[in-house]
Amino acid sequence: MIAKKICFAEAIALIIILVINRIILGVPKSLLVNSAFSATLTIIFVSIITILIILLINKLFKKFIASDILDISEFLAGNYLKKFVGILYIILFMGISILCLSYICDVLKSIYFESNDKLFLALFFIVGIAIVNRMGFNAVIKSNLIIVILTTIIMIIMFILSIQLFVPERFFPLFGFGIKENYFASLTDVFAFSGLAYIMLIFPFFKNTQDFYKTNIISTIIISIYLLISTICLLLVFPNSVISESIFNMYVLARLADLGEFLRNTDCIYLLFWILSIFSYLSINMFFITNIFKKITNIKNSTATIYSFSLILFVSILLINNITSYNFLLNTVYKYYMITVIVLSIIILILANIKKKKNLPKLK
Amino acid sequence: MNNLKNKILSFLDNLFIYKETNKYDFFLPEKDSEKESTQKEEKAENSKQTDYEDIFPNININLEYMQIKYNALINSDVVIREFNLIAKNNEYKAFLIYLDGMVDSNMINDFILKPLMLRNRANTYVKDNQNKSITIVKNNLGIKKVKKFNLEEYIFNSLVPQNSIKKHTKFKDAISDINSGNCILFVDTISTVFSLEVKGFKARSIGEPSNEIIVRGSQEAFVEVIRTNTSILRRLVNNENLIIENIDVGKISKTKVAVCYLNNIASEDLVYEVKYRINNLDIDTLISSGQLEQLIQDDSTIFPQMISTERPDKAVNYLFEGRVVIIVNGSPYVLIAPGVLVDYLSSPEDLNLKHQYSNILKLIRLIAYFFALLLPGLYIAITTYHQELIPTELLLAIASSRETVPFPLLFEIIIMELSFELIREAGLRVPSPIGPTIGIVGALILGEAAVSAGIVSPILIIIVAITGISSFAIPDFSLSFTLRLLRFVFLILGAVAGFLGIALGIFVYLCFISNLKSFGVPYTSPYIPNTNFSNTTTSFFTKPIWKREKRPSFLNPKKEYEEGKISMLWKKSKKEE
Repeated sequence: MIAKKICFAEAIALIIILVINRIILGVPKSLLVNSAFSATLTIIFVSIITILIILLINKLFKKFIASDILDISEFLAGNYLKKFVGILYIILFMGISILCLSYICDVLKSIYFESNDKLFLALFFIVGIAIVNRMGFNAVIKSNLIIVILTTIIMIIMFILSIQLFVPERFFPLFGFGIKENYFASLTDVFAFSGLAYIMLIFPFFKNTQDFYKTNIISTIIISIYLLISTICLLLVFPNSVISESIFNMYVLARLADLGEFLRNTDCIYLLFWILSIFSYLSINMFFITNIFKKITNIKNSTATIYSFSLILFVSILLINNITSYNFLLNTVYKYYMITVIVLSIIILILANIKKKKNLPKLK
Repeated sequence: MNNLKNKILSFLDNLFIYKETNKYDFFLPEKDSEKESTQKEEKAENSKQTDYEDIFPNININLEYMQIKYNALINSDVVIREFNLIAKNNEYKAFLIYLDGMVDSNMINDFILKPLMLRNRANTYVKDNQNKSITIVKNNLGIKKVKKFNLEEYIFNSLVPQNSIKKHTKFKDAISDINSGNCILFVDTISTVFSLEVKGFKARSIGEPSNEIIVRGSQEAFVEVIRTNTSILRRLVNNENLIIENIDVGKISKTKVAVCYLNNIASEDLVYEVKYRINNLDIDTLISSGQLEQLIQDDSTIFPQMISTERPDKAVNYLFEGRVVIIVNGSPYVLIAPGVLVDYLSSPEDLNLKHQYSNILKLIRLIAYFFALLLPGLYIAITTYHQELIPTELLLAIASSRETVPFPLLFEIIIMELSFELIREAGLRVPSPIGPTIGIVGALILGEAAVSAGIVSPILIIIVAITGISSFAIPDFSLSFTLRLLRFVFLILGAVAGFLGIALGIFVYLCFISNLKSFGVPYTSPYIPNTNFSNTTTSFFTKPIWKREKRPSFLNPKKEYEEGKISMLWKKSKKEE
């Protein structure tokens, strides 16, 4: 078991990689389209709400040290609920993996590999995920820490370089399109903090259980900063109409940010590190999928599970034919599905806490 | 037919039927809590409290104490010779203690043991007036005083024909002399010992290191003889806590393998693990440390997992950190366990230079590391898929240089890389006077001719040359090998899918090194997992020598601190004045 324990920095990196990928894949765009410059206010507002949710989750987990949502579901209503919740989470992770893989393959195909098939590009990701997951959790988590550090450095460089492209007039309208659009409509943007779903599952992996609570708060703050900076950069560089029409905003931003006269088009360097972060993200997703599957089925052979899910992932990307269907699935289906799963998990946590409280006097 | 059927069935079984893997997994526990460390240090301090200061007149107590102090039961090079000393025809119990390999055995036999043990004129001579009583008259009273025989003076003056002999009454002086190569004589009934200078280790003539050359620092190298090597370590460590345990490996060859560690620093778990692995080898012969390395490493991968060195100063530095040094008889290279990635990018020179210089050199080595691994792969990826990264002028230069080349880029690079490897291999194999000539001829003439013939482009020669030079800049030979092999993998990945392929390679590579362990220590320590690497001796960028206070925590050493909070006390005292 010691081999599967993670330290504080690794846990933070695990949550951050999720949001880095969400940023690369266009979460800021979906935030910006609704609320113009007030998107920054929206992010601050959503961050505060997320931190409150995190505090609630921390409090609810206090009675279930080193347990994940599956263990808690089992405690609440037995094996059936555990399996049901497990399947919900597998669908959640599988869904986002399919969306992510399909999107990055489409983008790579349109930028660099026009003559290659989408499946050929996906094969590279699938091979990487399968190999790395066979090495084990330790390999995925530790390499993820390195990748997060590298990607963060690269993104900071990109943000700094993009300052020269800022157009101050784009600050306006400063408060967006009104309170309703800014705050009430944006409540669903909590989905930008997709790390919430992982928080429900990572508690058993901590070396020091106290780190779990710290990780949740700190990672949420870092995610907020990340989202805020990327949103500001996109807002001040592109007009709102361009943002809503562009497919891969961050890539376009990277293309515009020059490294002096000599190195003008450095976008492929950013892309190299983004691909790395997507590899890491998909591998972490695959780890959670196989781990949940093993937990709900008691299967011992993780290798066969990894291959099976990798194959499903590989074939499933054919379901998404174009960017429009991708946008629909991400912004409508996945967004609400994720919120449902998180709300359901919180309800399970609350009920389990009540049950535990009721059981205590009996034990005494 | 049946055989084939069985083979197919067994293959399908292996493919689909789950078998519980029984992987050997050892983890070196990390020192993570302050409490634990203080407890350990307290324990070490308590054990220190049993230290005696003065030498006892009872030889049995002295003998027992020295045996404990030097771990004589397990320390293979500590020799305690018990005998009966003859003085004035009386026999006294005595013993000699010295470190094998550091003394001249002939001198001990001829000039210490012979005069002390064998009956001769000197030790059997009894004067008539010995123990003569003297009568002193005091206040009209005659007091008869018997002059006692002084054994200490007698041995010093008459029995040991040595030019350099010192008397000590404290254990610490005696121990210090033993560590520096003297032989100590303990005699029953007297609380003084005799330190006899019989140093006999081989010094400068041992030979210079041929593969790990440095400018500043020791110019001494290990040799093939295990005892000479242990004596070099003894001389440099100069402390009784250095344990050298001998283990015989190989059912036929019975090769002597010495496991060396500092008893008061190295983690017990680490030492036990090293001994456990060496003791559990079922092989007939062992010829070199390279073979032993492959037999006791954690995983069978292309990455080096133990540091191999011919430099005693490097080995001693690692001993002081809490690592274990393994010496194989017949091999001039010793192994150091565990080894982490940062170690393979460090040179022994780094410790002799100011930290600013060594950090710059390390940065250059890091760049060389990436060039050696990725440069050809990146070149092919950029020129094939990501041309927009290259400035237009440079792109035109590359395109024009490739105009006459009939081969695809991948084929061109593989030809050049293979030629370079051939030249390198030929340079190593041919006799040494011709070796450098082969390299120069190969590189200059062959390269020039290949460009003129239009087989390769000039820019590719530059790429291959930079890659080759970068691989030479890696201080560790084994790591350099690893990079040479992996370079071809990255080359193919870059050719197949540009940066996507390179990213796949880097990702698998990172996961692989993150998963690797050397004697239970993660290969990416001290950075990932994030152990305490500030102010330690093992970190990629070194701090000034006065700030390297701690030993690396991933080694779980018994003593955490290597130097005081303020190591340059002279500065502090000057300020106080």
